Amino acid sequence: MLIKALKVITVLVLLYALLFVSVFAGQMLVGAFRAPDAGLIDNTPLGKANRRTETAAIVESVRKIVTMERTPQFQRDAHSKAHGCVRATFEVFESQSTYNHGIFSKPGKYQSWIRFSNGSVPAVVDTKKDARGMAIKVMNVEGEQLLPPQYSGKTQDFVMINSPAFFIRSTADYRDLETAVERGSPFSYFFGPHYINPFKWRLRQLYIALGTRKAPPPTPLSDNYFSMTPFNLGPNKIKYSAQTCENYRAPGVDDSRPNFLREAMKKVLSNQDACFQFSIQLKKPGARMPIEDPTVEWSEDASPFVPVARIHIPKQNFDTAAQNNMCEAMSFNVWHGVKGMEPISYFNELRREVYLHTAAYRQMRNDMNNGEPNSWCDSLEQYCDGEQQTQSKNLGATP
Amino acid sequence: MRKLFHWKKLLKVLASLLVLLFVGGYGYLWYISKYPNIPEYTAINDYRFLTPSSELVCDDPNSEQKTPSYQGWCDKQRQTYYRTPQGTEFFGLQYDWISSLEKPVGKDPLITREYMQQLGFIYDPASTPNENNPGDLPIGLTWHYNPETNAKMLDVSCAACHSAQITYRGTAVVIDGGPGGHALPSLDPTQFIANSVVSLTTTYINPFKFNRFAKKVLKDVPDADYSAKKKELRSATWSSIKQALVYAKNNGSLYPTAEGYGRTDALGRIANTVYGDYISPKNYHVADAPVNYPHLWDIWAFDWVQWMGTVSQAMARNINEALGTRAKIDLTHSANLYENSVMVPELHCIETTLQWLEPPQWPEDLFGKVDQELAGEGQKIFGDVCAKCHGPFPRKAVDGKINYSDAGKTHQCTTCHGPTMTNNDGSLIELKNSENHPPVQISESQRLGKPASEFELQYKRDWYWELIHIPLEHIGTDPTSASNMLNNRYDLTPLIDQIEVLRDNGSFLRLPSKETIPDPTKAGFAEGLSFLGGEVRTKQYREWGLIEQDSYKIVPGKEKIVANLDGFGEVDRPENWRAYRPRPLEGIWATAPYLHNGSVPSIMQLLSPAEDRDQIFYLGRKEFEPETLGINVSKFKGAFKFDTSITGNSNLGHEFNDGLCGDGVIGYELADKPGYCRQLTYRERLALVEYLKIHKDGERPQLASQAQCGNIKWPENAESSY
Repeated sequence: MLIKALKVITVLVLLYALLFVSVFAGQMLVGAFRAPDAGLIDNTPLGKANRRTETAAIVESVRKIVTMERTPQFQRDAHSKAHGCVRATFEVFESQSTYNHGIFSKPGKYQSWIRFSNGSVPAVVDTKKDARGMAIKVMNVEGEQLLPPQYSGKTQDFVMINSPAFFIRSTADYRDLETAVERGSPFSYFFGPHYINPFKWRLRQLYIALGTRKAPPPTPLSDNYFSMTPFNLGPNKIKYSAQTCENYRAPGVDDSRPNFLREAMKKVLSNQDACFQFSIQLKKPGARMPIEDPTVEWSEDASPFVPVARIHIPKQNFDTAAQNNMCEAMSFNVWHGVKGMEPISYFNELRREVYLHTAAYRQMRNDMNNGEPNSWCDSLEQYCDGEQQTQSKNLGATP
Repeated sequence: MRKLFHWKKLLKVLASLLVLLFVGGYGYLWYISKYPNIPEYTAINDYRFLTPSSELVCDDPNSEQKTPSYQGWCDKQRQTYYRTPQGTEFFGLQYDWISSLEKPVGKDPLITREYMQQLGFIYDPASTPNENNPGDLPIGLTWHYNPETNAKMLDVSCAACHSAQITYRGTAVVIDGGPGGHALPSLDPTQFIANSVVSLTTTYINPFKFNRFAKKVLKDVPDADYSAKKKELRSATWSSIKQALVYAKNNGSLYPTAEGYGRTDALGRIANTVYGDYISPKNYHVADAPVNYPHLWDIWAFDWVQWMGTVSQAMARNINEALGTRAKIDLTHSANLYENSVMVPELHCIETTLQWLEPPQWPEDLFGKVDQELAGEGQKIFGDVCAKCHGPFPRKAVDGKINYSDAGKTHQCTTCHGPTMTNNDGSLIELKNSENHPPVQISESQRLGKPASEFELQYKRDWYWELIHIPLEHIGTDPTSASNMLNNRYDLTPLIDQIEVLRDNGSFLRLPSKETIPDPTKAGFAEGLSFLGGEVRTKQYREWGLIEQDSYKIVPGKEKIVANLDGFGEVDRPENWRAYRPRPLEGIWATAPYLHNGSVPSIMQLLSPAEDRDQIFYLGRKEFEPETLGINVSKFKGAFKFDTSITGNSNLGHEFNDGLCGDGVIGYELADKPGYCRQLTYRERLALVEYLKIHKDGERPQLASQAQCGNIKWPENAESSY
């Protein structure tokens, strides 16, 4: 009798596993071969209106999640753990006229801040697999801003993670994920509430999500970062990326410590400068490069990343209480930027509302300053001394 | 092994299974009859009416002296509202059956005051059983005569769901026109309708029970006719049980979000009844957006009613509501097309009676004195924060047109478009010229591609209260109700086919217009109902000689009567706003729980960020809490558990919170930093709560005439005329 029962259970488990494998294979095949953006684009008035309703629901969920996860500081709803904000110069160099739009319309050197981070919420130790983020705030940029004046300064932000693809396919899916997180069961997003209904499984997205969670790099400076979502660059559609100049190492830093990424970056920057190459990938007509579906990577074979700027991170000590506080108060948003490089896709439209709302919410709840800085000195008093002053004068956009 | 399948053994097994099933079923019924999981009965020691008139205006049948009116009503008007039927039927249940039914098991009567009060139904404190209420049923339960069979049908009328009593330390405070607190649509076998059907079924099965039932129902029938009448009763009972079973089969899985006490998915149920039950099973849609029963003491003054503010004509709204509450209509047989049980004169009588209803006034002797100084502080905040949406905004027609130039002064652009000033498609907009702005804050995408409406339709009205529409994404309250209404489509083909048959035979009956319903296989909720309700309305008007016999034209000279019946001459012109509609707030203190879906138990919580609102709370009694302007929602036996994480139950939105305004945050906007909002301080919340106890909406639009009930024939069984 017992053996019989065991047999039945074994068969059921095997059937379930088979179902799992075939659903996964099916979803991967569909993902690889369906027309780009299939079923995602709906620009009917009803489609637009439904999306706007969804956005509001997501903003509200995010606000609730940020409130639930407070420590007691109100953390970012994603990338809540920063490894530090470092000073950098963003050096746009001369490039083909194709790329000469927005901030890339002419060569120039700009003071910038870069924040490196872990992706998870709530914050996890650096040793765990996770997505890593790099967000750049380029300051004192000429040009008409995308957002109304009360939400903008003179900045151009670039927001990236260390994977070229995102694991969520649509804003409707994103709403489901936020709802699942809000209810305290994020995994129900991938498997449905009861794990039993294969029509509710999102195994391809789970696969991509697991792929974006990577073992930590030796230092945050040693990785490559990607925009995931597309932008306009004048008449072109693009994605962007920052590629490290070399595989920076921090010998002597124990990479089993919970905050070793901060320590490693500190170690590197105490000895030397670091740099990244900032590149742009054009959307090629005919290639499989969807606008709305961020789960599909744009092939570098079809269209390689072309460098248009250099990011120079001077030797420095960034790990001070004042600078870390400033780092927490700062908000990075793809919509902080000038015309000529507009975020496109439904995801980026959603980001406008979510980023603006969480930033303002966190900043007010944490009682922090929330203006857009115009220079290093603007952010922190300590960078206003003579030496820095001259440096900042030398920088700024060259005519 | 083989012997097990021998037929004798099989029969035995089957028989014992049947017996088991029977005993189990009986045991279950006995259990739920004896120990139903419903709120306990709390005795009421005293009844209180509110808002006494300063002059003695009402006749008292028991004495020479006149008495004051309460909430603007004398007892005569109150009784009219409580008992005038509207033509609804529930699976053929008859009025006399209800008071004759026994509990499913045993001989105890099913419907008692105690039981019905446990379920959240309320009773008229003044009355013992009388000619208008011989069955001693709760407020709003009454009867009408079925036009075909002349049977006296159970009729659930407006007052059943739009009358309230809140209790406070043993006193029941009557809130006429307030939100009802029962779970009428529930299919739970301990609830009124389902329990009645279960009881009817056991009565049908058990001959002794049926004999007792027949004796009570047929008590006035002469002996000679008794056995014939009893046979009729038996077949009517069976037909009723069958109808209920069909209903349960079709509708059982359509309402995944439990509605509980005080709520129903009004639009969802109207749609599933009219488009699903009455036209085609293809039209059933999941309805997971229960809403509160709105209070009624000022609705007649509004230009738009319903939570989404979709309907502008009183008669259209009332007819559609009656159809949705299961008034009968034939929409699939050309021979009887549009034959219906909707009682148009009765609806008009109820509507015009409601125009005299006033909001409840805070009874200081019962709930405590109002702190005038604190309330004064609250009044100032109310003016800064609440009034810009809740108004009221009195509007007046000039030369047959509405002057909207004031609208720009009372509403701010960001109120509706959010701080980032986005259109509903997410594109950024710049709105500078409020003079030329459309009167109602709606963008092209909200109108869903339809051409802009003419907003000059209220010209027959002297003045009224303009209600604005706050887009879903700005108010941020649960979007399910509005989304369902906007996104669902209905196939009218079976009806269209019947109209075509009649038209082929020369009938003048119209088809839906191409402008409102371009594709009758995909009709919108509001457009479809507007067409159907319009046919019911014109059919009745035509029978009265107000509309020409072979067209849809008003008979010359009858325009005024038609305008009056329709309600202020309003044209029925539903709009699919992707929005909820803030209403004026006088008397709002008596209407907890709050928001359209009843997800926030008190005004105090409504003024707080969502994180400070109850995520789970318990409903089923209405014990008032004067400090919070809410009801006691702590756990108790038999309560309905309200879980705000379930679809349709979200308690987010309408928040006073920190950060950007918009996307669910409506205030308190910072004066020095436009577009940014902050929480209300505790003191500010207290002040607003204090002020809302005494808030007045100001002068109400004047009424043209007295309540118009002269044309109703109820309680007799007769045709009405005009």
